[in-house]
Amino acid sequence: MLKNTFSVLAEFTIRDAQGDSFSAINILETVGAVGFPAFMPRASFLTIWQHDDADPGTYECVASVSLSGKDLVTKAVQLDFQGKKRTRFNINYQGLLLPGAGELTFALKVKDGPTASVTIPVESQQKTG
Amino acid sequence: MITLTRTERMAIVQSYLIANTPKSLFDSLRRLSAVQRLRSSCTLAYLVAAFDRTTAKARRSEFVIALAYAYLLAILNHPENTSIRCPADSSRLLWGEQFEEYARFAFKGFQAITIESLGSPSLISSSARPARSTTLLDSAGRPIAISNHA
Repeated sequence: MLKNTFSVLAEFTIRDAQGDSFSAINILETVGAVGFPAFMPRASFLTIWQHDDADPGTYECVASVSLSGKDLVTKAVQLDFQGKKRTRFNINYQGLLLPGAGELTFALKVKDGPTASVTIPVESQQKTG
Repeated sequence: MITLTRTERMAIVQSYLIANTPKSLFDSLRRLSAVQRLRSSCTLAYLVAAFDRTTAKARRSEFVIALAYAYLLAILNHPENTSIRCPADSSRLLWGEQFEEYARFAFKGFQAITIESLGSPSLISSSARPARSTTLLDSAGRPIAISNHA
């Protein structure tokens, strides 16, 4: 059975090609903006998946970013296990425009299957001084 | 196809001679640059053929067996190997099936995509004032009609 074992949202992720391991740099917990629309230059959504040998090797998915339920970005993608039991799927977003404050959700939804998601608040920060 | 240097071949044989469990051999071979070079420089078909040729030898010296394990590891971790089943007959080696099992957990798939969400930006708000219209008048004070059409 397909299972999402780990998801993290960070400013960017690094993959060590020799050791084949991932590092998440600057994990995003919240987004603060002085005004809206706010520009988010980059974000990296890393998910780790596991399935059984009898399961299909590829899965149709939809990668999305939504703000308080309203879709900002959606894209159809394919999760490919490449013959392995576990796989990592890293989605790099470049240039997100946030129209207002709310709950920002990064998700990877497998068709007829589980969803990996991370939600962080987008908050309005008042100018001081 | 690549030719392993003498140093690389010696490192493979040493790993085999020192290893006392299938896992220790798996981990030891996995760290060798020779195995990584086999994986990155050879095609999967070449490695499978080399594994078959090596394991078919009637007289199996330590060197032959060590090399066969190195080929098997390179096959299991090869980027072209996208099936659950190992394309080589790992049962020809005593610890071959254990190697397959370890590989299933040790080697993971990897995908990365970049989504440029501002590829076709949509206007959210605009602060520009509406353009002012200017009416040109002729000497008699009548508006001049301007048209780009003939």
